[in-house]
Amino acid sequence: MQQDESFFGFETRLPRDMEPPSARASTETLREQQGLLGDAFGELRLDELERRSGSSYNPRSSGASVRDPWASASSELNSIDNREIFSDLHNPQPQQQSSSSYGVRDLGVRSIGGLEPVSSSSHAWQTATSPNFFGEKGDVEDGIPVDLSGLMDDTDSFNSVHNRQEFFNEFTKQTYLPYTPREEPMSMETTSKESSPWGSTAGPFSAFGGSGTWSTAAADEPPTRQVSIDQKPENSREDILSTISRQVPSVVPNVVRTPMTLEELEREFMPAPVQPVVPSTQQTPHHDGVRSPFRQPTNGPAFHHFQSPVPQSMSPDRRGVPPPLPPPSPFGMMDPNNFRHQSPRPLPPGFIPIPGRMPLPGGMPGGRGFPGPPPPMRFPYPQQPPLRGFDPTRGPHPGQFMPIRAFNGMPIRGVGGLGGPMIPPQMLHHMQQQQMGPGFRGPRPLYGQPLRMLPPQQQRHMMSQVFVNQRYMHDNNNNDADYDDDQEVAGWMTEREKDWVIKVQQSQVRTDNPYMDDYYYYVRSLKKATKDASKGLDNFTEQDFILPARMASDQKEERFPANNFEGSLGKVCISSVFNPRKTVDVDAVNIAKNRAPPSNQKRRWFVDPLQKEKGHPKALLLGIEDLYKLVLELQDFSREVAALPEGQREQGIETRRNIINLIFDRLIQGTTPDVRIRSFCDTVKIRKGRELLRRVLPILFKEQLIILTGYCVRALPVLMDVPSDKLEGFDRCLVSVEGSLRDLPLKRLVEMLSPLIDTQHNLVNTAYTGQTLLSQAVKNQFALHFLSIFLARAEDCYDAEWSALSDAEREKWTLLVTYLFISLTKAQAADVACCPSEALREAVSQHIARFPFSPDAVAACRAKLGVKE
Amino acid sequence: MFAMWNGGQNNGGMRGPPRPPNVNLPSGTAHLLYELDKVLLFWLRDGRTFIGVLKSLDQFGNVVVSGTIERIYVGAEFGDIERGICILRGENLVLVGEWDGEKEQQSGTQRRDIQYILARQMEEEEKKAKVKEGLQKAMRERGLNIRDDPEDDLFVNGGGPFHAGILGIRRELWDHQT
Repeated sequence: MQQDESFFGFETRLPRDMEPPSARASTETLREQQGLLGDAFGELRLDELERRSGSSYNPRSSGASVRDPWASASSELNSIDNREIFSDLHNPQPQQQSSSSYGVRDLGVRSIGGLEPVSSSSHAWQTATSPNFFGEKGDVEDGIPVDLSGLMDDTDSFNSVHNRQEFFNEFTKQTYLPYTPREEPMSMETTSKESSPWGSTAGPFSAFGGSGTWSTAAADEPPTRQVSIDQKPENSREDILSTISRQVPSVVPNVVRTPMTLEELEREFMPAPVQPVVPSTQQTPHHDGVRSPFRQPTNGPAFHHFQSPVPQSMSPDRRGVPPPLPPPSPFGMMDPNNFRHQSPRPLPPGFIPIPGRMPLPGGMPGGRGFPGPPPPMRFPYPQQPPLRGFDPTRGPHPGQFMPIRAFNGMPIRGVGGLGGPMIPPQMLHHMQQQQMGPGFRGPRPLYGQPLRMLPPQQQRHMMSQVFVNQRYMHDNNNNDADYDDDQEVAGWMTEREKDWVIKVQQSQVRTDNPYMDDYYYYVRSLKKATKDASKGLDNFTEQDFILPARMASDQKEERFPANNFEGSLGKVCISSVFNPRKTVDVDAVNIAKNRAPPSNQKRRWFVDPLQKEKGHPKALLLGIEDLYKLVLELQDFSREVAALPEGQREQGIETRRNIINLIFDRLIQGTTPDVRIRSFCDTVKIRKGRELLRRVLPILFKEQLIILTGYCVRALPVLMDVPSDKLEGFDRCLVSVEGSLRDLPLKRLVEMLSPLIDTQHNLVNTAYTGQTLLSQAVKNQFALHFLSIFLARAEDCYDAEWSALSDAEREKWTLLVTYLFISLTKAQAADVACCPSEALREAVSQHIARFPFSPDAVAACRAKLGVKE
Repeated sequence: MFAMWNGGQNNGGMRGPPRPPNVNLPSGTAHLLYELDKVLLFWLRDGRTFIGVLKSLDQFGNVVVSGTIERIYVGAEFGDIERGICILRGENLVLVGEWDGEKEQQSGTQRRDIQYILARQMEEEEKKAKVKEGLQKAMRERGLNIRDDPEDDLFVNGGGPFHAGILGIRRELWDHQT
């Protein structure tokens, strides 16, 4: 030990509360004997104490012989003898507190150093035993009289077994795992009860939820208790304990949920005898953690590594953001410093470290909820005799104690362990040696041996049996088994636990509305699907709707050179998606001079219908913009509805229909048919309007589509005026037009096309009359295509419906076909546009052939149309 | 259900071939469960590095690591501190990756005594702090004030918990106590 300390040389730099308690006790006693403390720190500390403790501080109640230093002059403070204040507690050794008149609580309270607890002693504990996270506690601790080493020894050491045990006891109240006493007589027993610091302080276990999790249990804790070690074995107590253990069936979980812990029972049955603490001569901590495969072999003592001033000396500097926790020893290992200097106390009977299922850590981020309860606790290593024990000469081994499940069902091995109340191997070793003698062999799972499948109930039964009935350990003295301590047990997590973790995590990403919760993935997959589905013009899908064809076909990027002028301060403004160029001067239209927008109109701008009727281009653009908004909204909404589960789509469909109707109504606005047609033509004149039409046509209902097709016929002169390179894929809307005409009667066709012949219906301000229009139409690809669709449909239903037409209709239709025929005949073959579809061309030529034209001319027309013979 | 145990072969740590992950996850998904019983390196948010065998984990990414060492690198030298079994809280993990001891050897880094490493580390940090202090001073003289807030919860760059501020504060406490 001497060598160890000198080896690191950090021992003196430990923070006070990191120091081993006994060591600190001795140093403080020394300091106090030298009068250092009272002289150097007296006034300052007392003032500080008063300030900090506030109203809860009442020195009068702390002891019988306390003078009230605060009532007297402050100059007196230095003269206060701590021994005087705490005269009754002055004996540093707890075994000398033979005067049984001190109640347990008194001792516990006074040990704080005059701080009176408010409700229970938890407040005082918070002050006295919380680790020095923020540097305040050291001050307080310096201020209190320090000759309480015998008490502080037990209570202040953060990692002391007693506190862990305490913590564990509190904890086991809430869990169903029983702990029953061992029935072997022990040479000495220690029950140490002080009020637990765990309940009120967020100690190193704050990772498990800290005070939030267990504070209630700690608050309910019965009054504290002083160390009581009985020198003579008390038979009656053993009887009682064994009786208790028989009464409480260890296997049944429900029984153990009695509000009374073993301690309380014990306290009822026993008068509290006082016994000295056994000096620590027996046990050398031999901490051998779980052997890692990459650990360097060590020749020295096994705890050489853990002779760690390192974490402590490091901690103030190394821990950056979070407050420095004590070294991770509570989880991984016990602080060897504590163990070396502390008298190893044998655990009280029945204190078997079985942390049950711990509650979920309180401070952890909550998920959306668990799919179910976590997997029940299950003993990871089914019982399998013979079990190989440990070699007493080698000290305890990681696998020595039965693996323990804690913390949400995770298995924990006996070393160090998780969750605090684990007993380190030192203590285990000690305990076992005391109980069973040196030849005892503890149970240990056989590594690599196949384990039997057992139903869960049986496993749980076995678990409690193995844990609780320590007799099991005696039955298995198998000396010839030698185990390889290099072996690491793999598979701490069972399949079930893994599944549970996965299930929990997946439950967090489950969504009922992927369009809202997982927009980008959903839209991407949607686009991908439609892209895969639609290859070509014919299958027009939603992809087309999402991505305009122009965008899809335009591969070349437009790059604007970023102009930087010499010596200029700014840059030339370049429009981008984030900074679009202002193309519409909204303000100019926003307010019609003498017309305020209706008050109920919440739109940002207001399109004056009159201006729009007059064909004001800006008003038109604004109207189109409005329609675009609706289209985008509809598009969004459709996808949103599609993402919903089947049952909830109904109302969505209704809303969608409303939006579509609104779009249609806006598209042909106007009081009279003439106005409507005019505004429609104006819309179509603008590229944006055409694009809008192209996008709107596929989503309209069929009747609306037919109506719009009629409008398109009216607007055909306008569309013909548009240069073909500016149509930009507008002809794709003919796909939907064709679909709308598919089962239309011939009568309707005649009605729709009659405006072409009837010149008086030509409201569009173009130079075309009926015949001139058609003569140009055959030279325009879009127009020819458009008309071909009508003719093809007429050819389809000609046989059935021609006879049903009235004479006027027949005349009209004949006139139309005649005009078309004449136009084709007159036109040069090179000028005649080419209808893209072979079937359409064939149908048109066949339809023309039905009428009484000369066969030669018809054949010429066929050739001009490009029909192959 | 007991497939992990029934295998008979011990795949924990670096021994043996990697166990085929017996985890029911959607394909193409990475998950820490695949890394169970492998030696992993954990890089914590405060810059510390832990190496150990991943033993267990939960849905928050809290992990139980056994046989853990804390490895401190100073330049091309490193030293280890044994940590045993520990829980690393998931929110503190910056990076987790498989760790290969052989590559560590090949990489030219050198194992040194931990005492030495700690001393070196302290030196380095003090040096850094000085540089930073000088920088801050220079900036202040130019009217710029770098706000060095050590208490914020931002990710601290590797090896960087030794903020000048922290160092200063801790130093005071330190001297005060000892």
